[in-house]
Amino acid sequence: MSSSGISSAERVAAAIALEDTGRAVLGHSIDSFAARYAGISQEAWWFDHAAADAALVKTYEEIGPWDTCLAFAPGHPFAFALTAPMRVRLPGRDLPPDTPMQFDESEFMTADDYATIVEKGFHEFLAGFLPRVGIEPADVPGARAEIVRHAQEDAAAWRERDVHLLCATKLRLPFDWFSYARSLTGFMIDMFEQPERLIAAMDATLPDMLADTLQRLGSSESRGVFLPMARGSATFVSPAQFERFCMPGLLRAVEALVAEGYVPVLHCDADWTPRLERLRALPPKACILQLDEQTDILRAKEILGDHMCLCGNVSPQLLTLGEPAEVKSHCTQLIEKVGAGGGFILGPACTVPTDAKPENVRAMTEAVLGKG
Amino acid sequence: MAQQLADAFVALDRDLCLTLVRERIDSGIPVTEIIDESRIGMGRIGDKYASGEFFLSELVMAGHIFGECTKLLEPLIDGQAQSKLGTIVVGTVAGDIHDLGKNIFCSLLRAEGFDVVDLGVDVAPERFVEAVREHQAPIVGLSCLLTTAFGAMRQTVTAFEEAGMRSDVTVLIGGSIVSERVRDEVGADGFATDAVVGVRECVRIVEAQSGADREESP
Repeated sequence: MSSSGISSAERVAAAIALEDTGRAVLGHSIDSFAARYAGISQEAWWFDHAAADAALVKTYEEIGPWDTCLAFAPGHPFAFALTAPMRVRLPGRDLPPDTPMQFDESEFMTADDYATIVEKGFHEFLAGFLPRVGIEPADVPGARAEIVRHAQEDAAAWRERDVHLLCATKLRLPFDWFSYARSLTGFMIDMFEQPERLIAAMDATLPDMLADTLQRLGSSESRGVFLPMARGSATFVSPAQFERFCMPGLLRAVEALVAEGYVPVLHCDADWTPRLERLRALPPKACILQLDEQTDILRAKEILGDHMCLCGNVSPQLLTLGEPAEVKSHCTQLIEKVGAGGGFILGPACTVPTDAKPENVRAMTEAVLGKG
Repeated sequence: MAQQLADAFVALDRDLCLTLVRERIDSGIPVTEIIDESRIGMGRIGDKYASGEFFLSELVMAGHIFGECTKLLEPLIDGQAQSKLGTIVVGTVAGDIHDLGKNIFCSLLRAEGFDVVDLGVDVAPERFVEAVREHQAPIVGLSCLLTTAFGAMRQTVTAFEEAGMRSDVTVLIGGSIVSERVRDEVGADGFATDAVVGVRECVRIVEAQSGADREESP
């Protein structure tokens, strides 16, 4: 997409800096949809990197282009599982071959583990935890190496197409990590019944997680770090709980990443509308706030438009059940209103659903390019 | 005194709730009255959630406390406290294994006074039909998180039609991604994106049905 003389990476950088991007920017998270569109199974998407990459290329060439992509094809079947404290259920292995990946969020961690983390450190705890979600610690280094190898090869190939990799790695902060590992119910009860133990464990965990993240980022060209953050939203916890349990870790992590020159991509699923003011406490012009359709993105523009780049938020229902004209009109409005003055990347809410209509995904491209 | 237990619920004070329930049991207060008093507290918590004063975490904690109190009361029920509102069949539809929202919905339904038949996750259409038939449930709740499950929701509604039961059961769909549009697309009767709204819709439906039944009675 460099016909205007500016590369996609430069366009994304300009969006983060709230500067003029020349034209609207399109950022996709398009994984399982690409598999379905290109006619490969979801199993192949996870277990056959070459087939998955070819599916993404076909999707890009036929219904793209786009400027940036949250991630490329999975470099290993563990690619999601390594940062998800849940039992990941993969197509072909745990699910029918053409079913999207899902996860089983059970109570894989007990409240007693908080004390273990404080006493022995997160790394030692993690080594004992991984088998509970079906991962042998001995398999992790090999999986990591394969992920890095594919990521480097993919980044080089996609650079030739002028597509920028938005995120080089993922950091699931302790607040979200524990809320999945303990199960949502267990975690919420802990917030009421043993807040000090929970906070002590989160405080003990964050430095190890940050160090691991920075180590993984070492050789990466992309400066983006994906922070999946649903559980701190107003959908789940009260403002007081957000302030006490979530915000301190978020602030510390974002400031540490920004200080090292990285770009936190705050993937905020669920309703963050009441939290938008608080996000002004994060460093300015340094993050991307990725919203799904549950947050009022126009309100986000009012509150954060001069502070951080917004990304989103075309709903999964619209992409699945809507019509192309409707999608294009919606995207055009987002570009005009949220993109006014810069600082906006058009994209799906969370991700493009597996069964989105291809013509609707193409309508997003056309809205950005002003075609159709 | 009657408000004390309800107030303890609203304060989310688990220890006080359990103490008060034990005191009431020891005083010989009927189990039905103790449950009713707890439900008043749960109702007020639902109101606070609906008004934006409480959040999901408070609902979950309240459901946890209600469950703990129920454990004390269950051995004593012995036919005293029958469900007042009827039975609801709930499950996550075929192809989807997410159960977070469904479980919260089930917990609140029980607290409200419904009997809940929870079919679990990845539930085939015919299992919904069998369960509704077996339990004579007037409402079935279909949960999902994935857009790919919309087809399974539609197939489940079709299964009720093919069984000749569609007019006997109200089909509600739930999940953060459902909407009026999805409801129409799959042929359901109602939808809810949060558990409290879903429970209130269930109460409204059974109350409307019992009103209609009364009108039809000779």
